[in-house]
Amino acid sequence: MFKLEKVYYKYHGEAGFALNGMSLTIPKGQWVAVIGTNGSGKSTFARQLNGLLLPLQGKVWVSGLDTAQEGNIPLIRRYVAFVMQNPDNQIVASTVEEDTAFGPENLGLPPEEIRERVNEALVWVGIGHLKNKSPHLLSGGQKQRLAIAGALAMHTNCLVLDEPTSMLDPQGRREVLSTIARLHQEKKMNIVHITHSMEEAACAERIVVMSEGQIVMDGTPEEIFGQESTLAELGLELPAVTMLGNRLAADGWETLRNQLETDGLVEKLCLLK
Amino acid sequence: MKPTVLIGQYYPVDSFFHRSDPRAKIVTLFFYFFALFMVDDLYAKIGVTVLLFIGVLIARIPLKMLLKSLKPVVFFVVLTAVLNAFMIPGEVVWQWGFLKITDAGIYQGIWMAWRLILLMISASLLTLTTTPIAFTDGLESLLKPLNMIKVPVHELAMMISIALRFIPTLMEEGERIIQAQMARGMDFHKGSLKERIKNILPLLVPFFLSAMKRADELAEAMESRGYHGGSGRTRMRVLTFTVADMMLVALMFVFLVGLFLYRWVL
Repeated sequence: MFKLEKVYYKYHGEAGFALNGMSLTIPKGQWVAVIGTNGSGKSTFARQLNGLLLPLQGKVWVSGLDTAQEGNIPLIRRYVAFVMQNPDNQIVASTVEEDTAFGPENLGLPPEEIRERVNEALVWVGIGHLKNKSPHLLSGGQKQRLAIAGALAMHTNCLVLDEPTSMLDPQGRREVLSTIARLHQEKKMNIVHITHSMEEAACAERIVVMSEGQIVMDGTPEEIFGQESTLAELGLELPAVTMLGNRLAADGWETLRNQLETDGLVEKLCLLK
Repeated sequence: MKPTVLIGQYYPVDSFFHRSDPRAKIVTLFFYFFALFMVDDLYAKIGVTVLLFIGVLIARIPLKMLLKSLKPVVFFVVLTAVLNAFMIPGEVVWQWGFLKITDAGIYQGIWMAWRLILLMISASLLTLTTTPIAFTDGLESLLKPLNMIKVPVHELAMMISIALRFIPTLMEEGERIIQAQMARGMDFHKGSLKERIKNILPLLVPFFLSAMKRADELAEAMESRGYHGGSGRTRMRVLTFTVADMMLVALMFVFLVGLFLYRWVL
């Protein structure tokens, strides 16, 4: 689905490279979480995936389409949808259903098909009952699900989310995360989830760790969170559950090491004598 | 909530006018404005008044809402009446020094004020029965011919609808900034006028900075969602001009023509 080859990118007027020769391949249907400290290039990477930013050097391919060729951009935007951090600033229209319709309207679809797609998408993310509401009356979690509905109505096969939960309360986080998980399972969508939260990263199939515009670690959550000391050097922590398990393991309960989920840890705890 | 009063104050009930095509309503209102300015004798004045009264009944808007829409123009209504009463020559009814009120002045003053009131009520009849979205859609569709002389109609309509969308968001933001500055010891209600004006600066700077940032992100989001201007774009909500809409415009037109004939021909 995505292929990046030695991508370099530098923001105007800044000395260092935001992306420093980054290479990465993401196969179709995979759920990838991207973690890293502030300024590691995560958001820049995300914006390379739908051609919002173009590489200064190197190449980015989306479904075999080169993002540097301007003619490919409309098609790429149909394949890849983007959900941003601030839920307010990505809502265009003054009612929920009009906003969901914005993408399909840009595709030039007939009105009946747009309405059908909009209704389906809103019901799927669970805000069908709010379709005539004004977006500023929605909760943070509902606003982000509205953004996801906008992507669904486009019939995209990939969703790039740039810290979608960092401005939400715990309830909103849970809503958004479970929607992401459903997108992956039910719609077989490609997910690229940029996040600060290790708990959220642990839900993915694969974790990519970025630092100074490069990929420093790449593997399954088990592999990544098994290397506590390397992560600590990069300024990253383990998920709280894993940390707790590992501390107990250090005190002699070896079976509790590297647990990523609360349920898993509880199960192992119950097996202890 | 405050913002809804600001934007067009849509009043959600079900009526013929609520269901009408916004374009039909805009054109009808336009004709009515014409009629108001063509009227000069008493029967015609009663005619336009009765016509608006019928309109109010059809729209099923409570009188209280209509009176509320008059509030911003009360000053102008009174001013028009008073100025006319003093300015128009005629038989003097009351005099104090060089100031005199004439009978023709009183009559003209009352009519001018009444005309302003009719104007405001008819305009709010449109905004009370039309959602802001429908209104911008209607305006865009009516102004489409201007595209030929290079007026960016779609862009203008998009700007209006984004402005409408962000009014409540920016109002919330303004509140937040005021509170943040008050928490830092700012007092907006004290000091001389000059000081108070100076105090607004620490509100405006963060407000505009954040609005710019929002605009940047919104542009990114719109681009990501495939926005490429008005060409090749369709709409989910299609305006349909029904027979009833046609009738509405036609009736108003007949009234206008009648008025014209009554004044200049008969």
